[in-house]
Amino acid sequence: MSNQMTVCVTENKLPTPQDYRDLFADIEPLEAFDIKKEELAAQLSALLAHTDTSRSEFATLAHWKKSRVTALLNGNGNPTFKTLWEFASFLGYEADLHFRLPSEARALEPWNSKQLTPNPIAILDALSAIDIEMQSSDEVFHDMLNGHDRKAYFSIKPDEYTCSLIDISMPITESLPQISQKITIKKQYKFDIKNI
Amino acid sequence: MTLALRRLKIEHFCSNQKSPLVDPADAFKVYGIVENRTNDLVFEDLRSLSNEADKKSARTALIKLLKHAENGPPLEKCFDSKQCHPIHQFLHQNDNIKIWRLWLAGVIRICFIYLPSNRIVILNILPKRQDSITKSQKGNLENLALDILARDKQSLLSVLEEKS
Repeated sequence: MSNQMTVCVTENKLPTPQDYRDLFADIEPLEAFDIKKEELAAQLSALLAHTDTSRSEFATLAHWKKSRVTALLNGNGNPTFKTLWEFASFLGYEADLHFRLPSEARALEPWNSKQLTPNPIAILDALSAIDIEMQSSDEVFHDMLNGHDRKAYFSIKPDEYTCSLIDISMPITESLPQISQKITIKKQYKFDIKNI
Repeated sequence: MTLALRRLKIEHFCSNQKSPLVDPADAFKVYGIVENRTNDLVFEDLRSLSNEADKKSARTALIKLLKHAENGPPLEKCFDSKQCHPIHQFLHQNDNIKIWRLWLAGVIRICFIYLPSNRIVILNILPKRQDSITKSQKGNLENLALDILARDKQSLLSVLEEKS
């Protein structure tokens, strides 16, 4: 998928997130902390993968029982900070506690490249867009050729932190590479990932 | 029949959670398949689960999958081979295509493929009641995987989203 995506405002009949959640309405609801535990287990697994250490190798290195490693990495139990610190230490890392607002991005970890990519769907949600659909430029082109233009088009350029409401005027004889020449930007939103 | 992808997010399974507004560039994004713009295959697989244990298992497995994908390393590096392994492999245009199976909680198994640009596409979610999958199940998975790969190569896979 290229870095530039066209997102069009559309109406569709997909099940909503609430429809998904309703499928689980008859089982015990999850607390935010349950999700946080899974997140923590995923971070520990990622650190192990980053240091190219298998679970068995770690158990040998740390003199832990394999079942303890498995339980920790499966998100079972409620590990103490000492356990987390030991886990990181055995792999040659420090373990710190970071605080952030829910709206802020999580701090990058050693296994992440030093780059963040804005999530265009979340950004459009934040911009109060209605139901949206992401399309490739090919799909936009073919929809327009067939007279299926959407109500509005947004162009997202994550690298430049811009989201533009665009106007595409294109005679149907034009070929795909010429589309970009015919786009005029009606309104551009410059976003700062920290402020969304 | 048209095929599209739909990004699965944590808010599909838990109301008090929101997807981050930014992702690390190397994070994996998890998608389900949508047929004819309306038939969401992940949703249908989940809807077909009949008992409480299967539902719990599916929800836990999907949350684990999403949380591990957020971090970036390929899933097979984050789990042991019993939890994540190729269930079927085939040659396609000189590429060795692997269909992976993830077993993270209870009886539920999630079959998926990787697409370029750190994308994971779920092919199906099923309770595993037998040791291995049948020849016809493998054939169905292979056909679906081939269809997705071919459409992606031709930029014919759109991504559908709906506001939460």
